[in-house]
Amino acid sequence: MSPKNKLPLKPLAWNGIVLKIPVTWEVESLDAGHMIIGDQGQAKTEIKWAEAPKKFILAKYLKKFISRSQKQLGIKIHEQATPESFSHLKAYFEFFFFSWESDTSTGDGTLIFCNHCKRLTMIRFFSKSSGLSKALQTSIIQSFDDHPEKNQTLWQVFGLNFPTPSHFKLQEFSFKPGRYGINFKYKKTKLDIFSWGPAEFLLSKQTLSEFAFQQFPQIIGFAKTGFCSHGSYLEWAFKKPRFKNAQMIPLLSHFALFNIFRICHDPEFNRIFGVMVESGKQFEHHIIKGSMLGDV
Amino acid sequence: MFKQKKPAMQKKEALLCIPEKNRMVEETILESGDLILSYQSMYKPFFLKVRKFMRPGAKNTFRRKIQLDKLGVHVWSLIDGQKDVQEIIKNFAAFHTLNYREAEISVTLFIKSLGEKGLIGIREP
Repeated sequence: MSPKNKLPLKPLAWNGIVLKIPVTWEVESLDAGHMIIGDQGQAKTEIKWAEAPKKFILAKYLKKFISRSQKQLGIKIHEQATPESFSHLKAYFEFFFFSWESDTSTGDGTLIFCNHCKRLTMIRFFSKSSGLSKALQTSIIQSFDDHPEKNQTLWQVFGLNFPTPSHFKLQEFSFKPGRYGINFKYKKTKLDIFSWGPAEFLLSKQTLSEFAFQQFPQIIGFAKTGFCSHGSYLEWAFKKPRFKNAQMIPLLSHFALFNIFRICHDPEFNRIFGVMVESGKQFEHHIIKGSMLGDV
Repeated sequence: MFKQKKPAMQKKEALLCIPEKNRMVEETILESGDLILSYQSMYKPFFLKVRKFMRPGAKNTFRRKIQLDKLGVHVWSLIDGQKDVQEIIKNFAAFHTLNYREAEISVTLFIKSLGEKGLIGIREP
């Protein structure tokens, strides 16, 4: 193996899928079931995934997925034999290798069907235009997984690294410079993850508590403190009216939303992390304790 | 016959451009660590006409000031006429422990706004 193939890899986890990519690669475009990963603006690989319908025949489903992908991406897909030397640690995956071509580029790829969660994933490498070696492509495919372990979905992107209970589904996300936010929902419970940075700058003229009040003016009361893996945190538990001035009507105060907000400054990463849990029933302490700012 | 339009620069090429400070810009450091940049700016033609009408001897230019916060000051200090945009982003990201993409968006937007104000010039490598 040439030194080029021994690029150090880093984990990437998003909405159920987990894989390892070279450290210099970054996510260029992101959606709930799609991502483009590139290196300094040059696309290296595209990943697309979808849950299979409840009833399906794999061969027909694959054919449909391929034809839809060909139309969407403007490419032509040609089936290829699985390389003899290829193997994957997880037996529940089925691999279908292919090569693709468009008017401007060509490359290789694979379709991965998970017999466990019935998810179909397409990994398409921009092999020819970006000079990707076969060995690197193979190691990326071999690192692929799409199973939440211990009923937790892992999220590892743009320096964030946290698990969520797997029944919480992704609702919205935004990655703006200085402020990341990812929102999840399960039934009527909301879980929001935040990351702000650089913390050194944001906290140069105010305390962490003042910063929290600036971000969420609805916070009420005093904070309690504790320790999590990122350092010491501040936590507020407060009731929020469902709409403006609802607390003026006594009957409606029973229907307030129960909020817990935990915030922590991590000097090592130079970031401020925040977790907000909102529930219509009660204060969901167990969710916040199992979050990335959970107690140590 | 017609002047051919120059093709738009690719992102990769743009990141290799070298920003250079305008020598006419005056710098004043405040106690808070912020930096004030003042530079000569022309009045808009309409306002210039009004000024000339009111005061025939009035100047065509005035001094405009902008205040940079600590992050802006850091990017400004990295502009030395040697480093290209990519190097500035890498330095900035490493210093503030930022993700490269996050630093890239904020630094390129900041450099673009400095360029629009005429505080810097961009040199192709």
